[in-house]
Amino acid sequence: MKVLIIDDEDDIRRIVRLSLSRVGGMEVIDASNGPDGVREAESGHPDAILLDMMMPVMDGPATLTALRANPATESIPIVFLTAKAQTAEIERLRAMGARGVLTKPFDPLALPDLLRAVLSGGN
Amino acid sequence: MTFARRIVIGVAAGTLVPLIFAALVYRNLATQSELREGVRARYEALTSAALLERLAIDMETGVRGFRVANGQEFLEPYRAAVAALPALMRQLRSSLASGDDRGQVEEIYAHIERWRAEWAGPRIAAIAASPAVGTAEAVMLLQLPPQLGASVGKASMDEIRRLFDRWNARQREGLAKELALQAQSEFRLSRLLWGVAVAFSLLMALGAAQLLGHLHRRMDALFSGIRAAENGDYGPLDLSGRDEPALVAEAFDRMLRQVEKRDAELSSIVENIPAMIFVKDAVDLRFVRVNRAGEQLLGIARADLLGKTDFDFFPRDQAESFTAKDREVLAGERLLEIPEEHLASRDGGLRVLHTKKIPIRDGGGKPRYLLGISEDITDTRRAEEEIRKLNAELERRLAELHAANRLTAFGVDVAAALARGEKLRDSLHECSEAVIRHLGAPMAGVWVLDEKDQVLELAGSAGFDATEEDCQTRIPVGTHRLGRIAEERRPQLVSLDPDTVPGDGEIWARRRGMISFAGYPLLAGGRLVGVLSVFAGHDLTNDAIDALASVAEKIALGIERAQAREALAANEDRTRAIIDNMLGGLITADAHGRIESSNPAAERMFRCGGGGLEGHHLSERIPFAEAQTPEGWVREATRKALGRVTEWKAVRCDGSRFDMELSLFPFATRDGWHFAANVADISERREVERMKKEFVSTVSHELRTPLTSIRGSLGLLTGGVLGQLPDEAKEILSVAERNVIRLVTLINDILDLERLDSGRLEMHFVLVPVSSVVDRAIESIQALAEQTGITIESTSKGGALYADPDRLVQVLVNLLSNAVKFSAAGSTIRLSVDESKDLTEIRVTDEGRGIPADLHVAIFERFRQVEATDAREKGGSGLGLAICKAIVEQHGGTIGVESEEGKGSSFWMRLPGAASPRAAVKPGVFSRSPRPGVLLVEDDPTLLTVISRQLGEAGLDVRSASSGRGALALADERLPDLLVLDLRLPDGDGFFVVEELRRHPHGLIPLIVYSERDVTARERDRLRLGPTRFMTKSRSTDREFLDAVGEMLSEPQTKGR
Repeated sequence: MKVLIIDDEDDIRRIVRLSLSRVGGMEVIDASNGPDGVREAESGHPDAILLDMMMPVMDGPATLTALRANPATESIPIVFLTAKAQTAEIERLRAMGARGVLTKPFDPLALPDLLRAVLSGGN
Repeated sequence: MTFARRIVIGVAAGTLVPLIFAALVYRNLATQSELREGVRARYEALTSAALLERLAIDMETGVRGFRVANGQEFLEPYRAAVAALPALMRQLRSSLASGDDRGQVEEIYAHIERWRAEWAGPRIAAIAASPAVGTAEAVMLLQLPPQLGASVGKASMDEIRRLFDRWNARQREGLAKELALQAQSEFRLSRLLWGVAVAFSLLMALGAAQLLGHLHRRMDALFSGIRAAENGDYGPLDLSGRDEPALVAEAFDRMLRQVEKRDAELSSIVENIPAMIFVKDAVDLRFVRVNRAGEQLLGIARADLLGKTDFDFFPRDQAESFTAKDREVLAGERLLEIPEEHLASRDGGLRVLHTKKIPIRDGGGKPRYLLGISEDITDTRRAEEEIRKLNAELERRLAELHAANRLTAFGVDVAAALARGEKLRDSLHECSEAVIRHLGAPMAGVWVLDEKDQVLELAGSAGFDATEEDCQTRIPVGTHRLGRIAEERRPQLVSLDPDTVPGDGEIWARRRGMISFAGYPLLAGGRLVGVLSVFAGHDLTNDAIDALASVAEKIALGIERAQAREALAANEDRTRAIIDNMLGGLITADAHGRIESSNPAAERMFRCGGGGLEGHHLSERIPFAEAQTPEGWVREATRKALGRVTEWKAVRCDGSRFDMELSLFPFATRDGWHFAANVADISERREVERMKKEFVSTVSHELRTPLTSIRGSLGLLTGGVLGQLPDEAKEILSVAERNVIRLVTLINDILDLERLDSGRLEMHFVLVPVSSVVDRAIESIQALAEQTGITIESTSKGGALYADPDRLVQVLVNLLSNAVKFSAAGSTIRLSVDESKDLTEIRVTDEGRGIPADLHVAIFERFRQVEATDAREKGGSGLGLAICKAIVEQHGGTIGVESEEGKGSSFWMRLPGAASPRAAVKPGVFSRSPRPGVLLVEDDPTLLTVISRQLGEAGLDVRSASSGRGALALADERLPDLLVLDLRLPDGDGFFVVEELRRHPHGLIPLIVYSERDVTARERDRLRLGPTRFMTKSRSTDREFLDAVGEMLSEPQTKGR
């Protein structure tokens, strides 16, 4: 399973990478901003994308819209990883096409399972 | 023939006789005169002839003497005689008009002239003319012719003398004849005069005798007629003829006719006069005449009365009294007036008479009749008595009226004084002057009570100088006379007798001669406001007290009014000061939104100094797009901001914009409706809010990001993902990880609480099965429980809740995790759900160490845990239960704990059950069945009726109570779906109703606090029940109220404010 992480924070990317790869045994690619993320998604063909909300240049929702607009990436399930976990926000993101929302800070040991659970349909 | 004519004719005839005689006398006298004239002429002729003779002699003598003696002196008589001769001749000629006598004189004269011409004439003339007179020559001349000698001319002279003698004799003879004739004529005249006198006298005597005889006869006839009339025979008095007696008789007859008529009239008058007129015979006092009034008065017919005396009709004593009076009158012979005498008439009972009795005398002056006039004054007397009584009554009334008028005038004076004065002091001064005027007292004063100090203060006086040394102007209540009047509230009237003990503080008044004092308490509606005092130099009476009483209340009310006015003014000043100095802006506008006033804060806010707001329309400063016209603005603004705090964009006078908070409330004054606008510049608050929001956002993101990294890193390390670490290192890393988690929790909780407080925590209410909530909660805690060997038992049922499931899960998780934390390993935690019709209760019961009773409430407060160390030990933030409480309350529920130390705790939350109508209510569904029940608690019966009807008409099942107890009884019977609660209740305030209902297991029902006054924030906390809304009656329209009711019944979610 190949997961694309799009987050502007290097530290977060590193920890998520470690968590998913070491704990969850997943293949991980990453991008530090929206445009890069879209390119990575086109080229790397990930099975899922973990997307940060707050990013410079192009924030999470914008990136999501870009990904959904791109035929190459439109079908890749997208899960948000955000510190803003208000219900209304979650509903909005779901409405925009997100598969689910995972909150920061997260337990690195539990993250791969949570991701799998979200991707498999629960939340 | 009248006597006058007879007399004229007689006199005329009498006069004719003397006239004839007069003519005869006249003729006689004329003859006599002629005779006398002849005599006189003859005497005159005799005298002149004698003179002529003399002249002739003188001439002859002179010429002879000259001739003889030749002395010039002899010529002198000659010359004088010659000179006198012509004049004498003229006289003679005139006196001897003609006849023989004159002829003879002419003859004599002719002789004389001849003599002169012959003898003396030419020569004498020549000598006399020559200058040689006396000379010899002249003598010569004379002596020539000498033949003539001395006897020359003697014969002529003798002839002349003889002529003279003859003439004289003849004259004397004539004279004698004439004198005899004259004497004869005189005798004849005297005889005539005597005859005339005798004849005239005889004639007159004859005429008079005839006339007198006739007159006597006529007068006799006249008098006999008059005497007959005198005796009452008014027969015609006819004297034939037209003389004076006949005329007199005629006139007398006319008079008699008049008298006859008058007599008839008089009789009629006498007969008809209302007074009794009677005539009695003077001798035996028998009635001879009585008129009709007399008959009626006496009740006796005239026929019965005439010829009788008083004794025949009246009781003896009365009759004696009457007759005694009659005799007195007749003896005294003059009128007697009896002002009042009583008479017993036969039919009319006792009558009162006013009688006059008059004697009537006969021709000889002796009394013949007695005339009596009696007036029946019975009724008059009675009327007079009545009038006297009426007069007395009238006078009494007039006196009363006069007194009342005086009092009224006094009252008017006082009222005018009170109305006139701008200042109370001036008014009271004028009142005092009015008192002085009306009571005639020299000093008066009005003392006003200072209620705070209980001191009477002299507020107005007249007649004395209050600054006089020992005149007090402040007198404590209860001391001195005035103070006692104030205390006892009774007037006093005191005589300041110098012999008595000197009154307190009145020495100065006595010194000025005051001897009397009156004081009156001034009560306004039973409240003492002062005392009225008067000093007088005369004794004051109760009338003075009455007078003071009549004005006391007026003055008291005047004082009260003035005090109220002053208090009002002070109040206005205070209000003004508050308004001017308050921080909030206050603008008032008329009903059309035109600004009427603004306080300095508002002017600062709008930067419109110096009244720059007034007169403008509110819409100029607070515009909004929906309102195009000022009217629209008012409509829209009142709809939005009436009684509510709302936010607007406002425009300052300099054009800049700012955020403003506006609350409008209407108020009515005498001139109609107005608006007051509370305005506040909230730009700063807005800025702060913005910054806070930003801060929260920043914290949530900027703080979480590094924490995410730390937490992640630590998690990876402690999880052994990156290889196994030494045990000690792992332990230290665990500490770090645990605290990071705590920090994250803390931040999350703080953010949650902040959102809950500010109302920005989003809630999404849906109808959710209780079981799903319970399951999610247990699921999320299961792992933790298993780690610590704790069992979680759940007895969930299939009911539904109208709630935000995520938040509810959060609460349950919190409760469960607490239970897990404080439970010993191997123990059991029970989660039970109990549903009734209205309420769902979820209970988490553990077997932990329990919570002391005094902390049962405190633990729901922030940062409170059972023990200070718990938080650190168990990794909690100390905010969990506070958040739970807030969330549950947002659901209209309650949360609490039942616990006993050492025996575990049981946390419960009660939420409006799915079975509650609210849970299923959709907006505007009042018509559903059963109808939602509203319990209305309102003490004002009118409002109670009005609101009940309105709610009933809206399709609600309304029950109402006018007291708190009544409301609780109704609620016990059946809980309503909505409680509308007034705070002011007869048996306490609304707070206790809320408190009681909170104890009720299902008491947390929706509540509208509908109160007169605004409810403070602190009070709001005490008043929350279920979803609670606060409305102020005066600021909410009926529509708004009904809308609120609708919202509360249809939408069980609400925000916290």
